[in-house]
Amino acid sequence: MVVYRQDRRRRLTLVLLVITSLVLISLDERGSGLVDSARSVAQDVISPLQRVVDSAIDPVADFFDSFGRADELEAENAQLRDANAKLQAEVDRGQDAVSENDRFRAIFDIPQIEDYDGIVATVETGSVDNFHRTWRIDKGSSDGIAVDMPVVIGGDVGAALVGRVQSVASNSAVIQRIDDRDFGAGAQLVQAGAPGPIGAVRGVASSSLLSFQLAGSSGAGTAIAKGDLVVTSGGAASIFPKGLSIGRVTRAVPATSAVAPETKLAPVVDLDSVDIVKILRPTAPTQ
Amino acid sequence: MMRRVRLGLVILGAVLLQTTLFTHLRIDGVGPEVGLVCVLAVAYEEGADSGAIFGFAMGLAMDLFSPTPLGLLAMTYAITGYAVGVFQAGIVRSTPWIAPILGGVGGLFGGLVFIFVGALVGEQGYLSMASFKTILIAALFDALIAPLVFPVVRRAAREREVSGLRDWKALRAPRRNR
Repeated sequence: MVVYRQDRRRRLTLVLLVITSLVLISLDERGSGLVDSARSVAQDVISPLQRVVDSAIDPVADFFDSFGRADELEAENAQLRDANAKLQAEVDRGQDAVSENDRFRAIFDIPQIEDYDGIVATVETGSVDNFHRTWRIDKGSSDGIAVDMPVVIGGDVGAALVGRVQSVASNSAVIQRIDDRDFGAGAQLVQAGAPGPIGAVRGVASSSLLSFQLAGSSGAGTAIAKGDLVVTSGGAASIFPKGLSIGRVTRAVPATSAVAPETKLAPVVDLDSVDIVKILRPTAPTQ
Repeated sequence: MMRRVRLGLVILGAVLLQTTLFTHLRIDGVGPEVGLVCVLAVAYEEGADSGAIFGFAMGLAMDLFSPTPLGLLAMTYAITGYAVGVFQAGIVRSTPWIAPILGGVGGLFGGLVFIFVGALVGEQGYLSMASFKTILIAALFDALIAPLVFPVVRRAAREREVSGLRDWKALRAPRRNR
């Protein structure tokens, strides 16, 4: 009898915990301010400790960050050696130093976007869980960052979208990467330098590539070529300004009568090696 | 009282490790679930009730730093803690491999609970082959870190003073490894 009662009590405990969890999930899904506040406070409390631990494990972290990318780094080194040799040849030929500076600035500078000012932040850590792709940055609401602000870096095709602000604490924020499974944005194909049909970009759970699908009405009969650039479409309903580079098409799609053709995009920047980002803050109130 | 403080420190330590070291130390983009391994250790040490309650507390703490809905990890860890607690009551003989075995099997069970509960509450794309691959790698990772985590957590979960009530409980639960 005693054992039976204890089993029943244990089951009751579990049932109560499950019910409490369901209530919390329901509150969070409805966008409760209480849950957001709890997350913000928790992040504020723990972020000083995280920074201490981050600095303590920095050499170990660098080692492990490079550990899984040995092939990639080797290829990168080869590319850099090639680039270095080319640059050295250019210098030897006495090319104009100003034009060279301009070229490097185009690649490395974080650009200015019209109607937005920028807040530069450092990426501190990557994803906490195994099902989402996020970064934690070292700036938060006290620096003017708010949820849904676009996050960009400089790329070889201008400003490149890398994510959006997902949650904010006073001195830190979480960025949802564009390759996160829950990410989505209005997008536009650019063909031969001219704006093409519009569609939508979404993250893919099983891949670092992005899914790009043209909108039914504008996409029918459109051929998509490998290497075509896809940019944000902007618009009043979008949180992203128009014209930010997102990715390049990796698989061509022939012109068919198929409604809403779909393809994959490779992000224009290597998202795994991003360490500095720019958060775009609207200078005018959003409509 | 001191035991609760120690278990609170275990939760804090697990959150810190998960949000710092294990954002770097990953295999194919997948890291271990330190919090879940701590829950497995407490459930194995203390049984289903404590496993469920500690699992809920640990999951809730992890939820605060995760993009998943608040309560999803709390429910996952509570159910896993309960299940491992029930399982440990049936273990006839302990083995030195219990930590990695429980880490792997518990990690796999916890991962499955996570994606099924996640899918039930409306998270997109949780029931996919990619998710199964992810939880498999995470479970292997959990098995690897379990021999390091179990001794620390078991020490934190241990009662220093054995009360009369505790003696009575110990008689009723002779499986407990202490």
